[in-house]
Amino acid sequence: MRLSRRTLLAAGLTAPLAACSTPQRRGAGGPVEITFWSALRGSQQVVDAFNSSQSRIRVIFQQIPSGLQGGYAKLSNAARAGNAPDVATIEYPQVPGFAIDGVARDITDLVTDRLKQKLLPQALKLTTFDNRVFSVPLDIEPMVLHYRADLFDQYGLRVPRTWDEFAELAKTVRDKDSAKRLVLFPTDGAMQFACFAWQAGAKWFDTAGGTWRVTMTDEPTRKVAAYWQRLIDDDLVFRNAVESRQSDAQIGQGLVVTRLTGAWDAGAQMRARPGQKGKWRIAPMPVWDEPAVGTHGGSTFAITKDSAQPEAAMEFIEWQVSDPAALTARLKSGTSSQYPVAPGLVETGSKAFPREYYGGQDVYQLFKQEADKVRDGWVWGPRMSATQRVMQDGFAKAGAGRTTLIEAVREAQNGTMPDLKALGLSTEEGER
Amino acid sequence: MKGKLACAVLLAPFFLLLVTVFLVPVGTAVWLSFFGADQPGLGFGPERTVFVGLRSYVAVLSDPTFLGSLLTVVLYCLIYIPLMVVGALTLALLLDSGVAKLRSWAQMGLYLPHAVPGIIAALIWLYLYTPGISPIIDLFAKADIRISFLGVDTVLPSIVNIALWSNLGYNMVIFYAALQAVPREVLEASVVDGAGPVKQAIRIKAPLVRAAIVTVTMFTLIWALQLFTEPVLLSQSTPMISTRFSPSMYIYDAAFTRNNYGLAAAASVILLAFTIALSYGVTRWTNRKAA
Amino acid sequence: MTLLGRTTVNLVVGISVLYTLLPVLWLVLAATKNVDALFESDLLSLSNFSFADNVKDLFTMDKGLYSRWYVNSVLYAVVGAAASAFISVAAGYAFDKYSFRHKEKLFGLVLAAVMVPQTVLALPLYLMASETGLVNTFWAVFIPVLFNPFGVYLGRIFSQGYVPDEVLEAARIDGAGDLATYFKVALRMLGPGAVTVFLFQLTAIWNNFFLPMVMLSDQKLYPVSLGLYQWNSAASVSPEYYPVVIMGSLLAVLPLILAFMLLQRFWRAGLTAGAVK
Repeated sequence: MRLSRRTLLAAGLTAPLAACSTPQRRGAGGPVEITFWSALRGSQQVVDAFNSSQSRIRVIFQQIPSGLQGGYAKLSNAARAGNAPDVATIEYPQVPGFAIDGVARDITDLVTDRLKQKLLPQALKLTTFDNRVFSVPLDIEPMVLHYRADLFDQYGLRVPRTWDEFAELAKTVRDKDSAKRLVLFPTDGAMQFACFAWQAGAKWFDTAGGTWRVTMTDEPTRKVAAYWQRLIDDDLVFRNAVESRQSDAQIGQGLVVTRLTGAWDAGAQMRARPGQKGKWRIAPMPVWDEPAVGTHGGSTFAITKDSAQPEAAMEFIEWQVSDPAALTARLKSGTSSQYPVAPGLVETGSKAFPREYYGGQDVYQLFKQEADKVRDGWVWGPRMSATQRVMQDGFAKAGAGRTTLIEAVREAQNGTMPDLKALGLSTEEGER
Repeated sequence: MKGKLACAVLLAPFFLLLVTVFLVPVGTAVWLSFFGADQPGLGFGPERTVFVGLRSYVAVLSDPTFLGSLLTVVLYCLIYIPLMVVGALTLALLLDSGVAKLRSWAQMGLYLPHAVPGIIAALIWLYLYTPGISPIIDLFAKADIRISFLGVDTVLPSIVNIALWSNLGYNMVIFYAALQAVPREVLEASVVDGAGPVKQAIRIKAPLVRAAIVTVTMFTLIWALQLFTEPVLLSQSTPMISTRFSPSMYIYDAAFTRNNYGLAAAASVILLAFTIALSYGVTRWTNRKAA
Repeated sequence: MTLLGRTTVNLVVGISVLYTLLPVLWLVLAATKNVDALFESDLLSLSNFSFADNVKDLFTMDKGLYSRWYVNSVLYAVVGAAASAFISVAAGYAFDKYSFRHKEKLFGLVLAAVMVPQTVLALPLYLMASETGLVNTFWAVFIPVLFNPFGVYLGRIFSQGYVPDEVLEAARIDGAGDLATYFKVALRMLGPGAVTVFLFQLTAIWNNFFLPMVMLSDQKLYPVSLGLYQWNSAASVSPEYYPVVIMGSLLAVLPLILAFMLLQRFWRAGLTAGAVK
């Protein structure tokens, strides 16, 4: 065994042999085959629809665990070994990380003007760094307010339009029934918190001037943290993990009256709790002063460095994000309510999404109105999964009264900086 | 003795392993901690391998989560090692006193947990810490005591308990064997001097098994510093154990979820240095005490 | 000694034995329960006795993955420990009976290797396995566990104790080659020592968790430890995994307990050698 240190490092970090080792998968005269990994629900249906819509490209699909449940580790490992799929699904926060690691390839030249014109520009901005496009957005998910219309009627509550009203309402709900709370502050919800901060005008990361500037405790974030801290201190909200049986029970038993999540979650809720059909409605997020929202969730498609067929991969991606048949296929699976990043598809979504669960409400029209309010200028950081984890460690302690939310955010920044520095990135902290 | 060839044949397989799965990896870790595949600026450009000096070390040592993990493991050692050494030695002395009944059965019983693999020991205790499943929590509940074994303050003692349970009997047997090897004349002499059994145990017997105490302390320390399996398993059930709870967990997280090899390698080298320094410290300290 | 003293001694020992035994007893009892009974935590009631069902569930869950894990663990542990003991004892014997340059320095290196945390080696080993294409294969877990410096240390001590130089001298006079002497004469004398080294490594490999976690992504290659870890992570969401994990744990513990009961005197020899010298 001969192992030079150089090749060792190369194997891990750049895998130069990878491109050569990927077999040319074009059979004589047969269709081009490309591989596709995703954790998104309904992907199999979308792939089937694509494969039967044409005969030049055949997509081989593999369902993988969701990102932080092992999906991202799987992608990283595959890229290291030089056998990443042609097309991978990456959520917005992880795009810069995979781009820096060289897993997601620079696809600027493959994204045509025709495709660009179909997509919401604010979504494409989130996957563009250093003037280079690293992935194509599929959906953009403004956070919305889900509420139990039946309980609102029963208690005579009004849908809150501002955060002040929301806090008032939290008090009312607890006073009406001490076992119930208006909402859950998810202690595993760094992404929800990021969305709150985004809405308030925070800017955790900035790439202007060729430097990663990190300001996670800026003024808007401090405002948001103080707001939720008060709700926690006054015992006006539940505080536990949202990905937990406890949270399931809170929703299932009607103990929690509203939920703040991305548009996609309408479909997930419908599938998880068919028994609550007709009880839920969706309203715009409460706002601070100006009508702005952040996003929570949303996925993009990247072509990996290992792909031998980037053109075919891009054709498949373009079809997935902009063809009505793709959205129809996904919604037919009955588990999705993604809000497409191509405004041309909203009508399709409106028609395909069943309305009975939300009492006849046309949720897609609401999503459309909210998506237009997504605040410009947010940038995700280079190691978002890690940042998220550290923040959630802090939130869990804050939920137990051991630290504060703003302290958890500060710890997240302090736990992120060494990572960025060790990667050799140019960094700065604090506001400009 | 001659027979160079035979000697080489006997040693070759081991040394092949020593080089491939020990020396080269250690060397690689050190190398990775000084070199990085860098992209300037925002990091989206092509990368090249460069010497980065102490950059990774500075980053690790300025990372509050890494320092926190070191602090955790030090705290863990401070609770665990004294409990383990004193507990195992006490039990060995009690068994050796000749008063305890059913000695060989007691030894077997005490030793049994060591045959339980670490991950399964952690699983058993995790369930004994889980409300709803745990008979212990139910028992406390009947006495109107509400206890959470996986809370912010209890999680470290809970991990100590798992390690203690797994290894107490094992170390007790080591001490017991060493005590049995103490020449009887020495003990008889001390009885003549009028030392009572407790005094005899502490003043005469314990110092005689000093070598065993040092060995046990060293191995316990080395194992304790590697703390990984128990907290990783418990972290599935409590948010109070972060992914960077112990140095080993930090290294795993840096290498395999953050894809930051420089950081992971520097943290590895620091953990290695820390282990060597502490082991050396223990040896020096015990030697000085002997003098 | 006073009666009070005797009572205290026996009380302390008795409580300690209960402390070590009760969790194992709990495991045995819990393995007979289905999910509902588990959460009622009435362990001693014999209603809801579903030992057989749990065993059946264990071996059918996820298409019978558990039996694969079990076979893997046995392969990793038994074959690995046997090969490792063979290699380590040979090296220990060579360190004892031969003299060569830098011998004590090299032996110092061996002892130092005992101290190095496994986590330190994980990333480089992973990258090497990645480079050689061994990552996510049987070998990625099997090869590193063959390395057992503590076994070499024990091997040297046993060689000093069990293999008298005169015997080797006699064999040489009879005209036997060095290697033949080792395999025919010395190895037989080292037998009990080798079993001890084997047992140590067997537990170590059966315990192995970190390395498989780093190296393996294919569930079919997992050892029991990693498999149960994964199932346990599923249990917090789907409680039907709890009885399966508990039964799986019980079955994973049995062979080791059995090995130790049967081979008691060997591990005792190892412990004494390690401690007293």
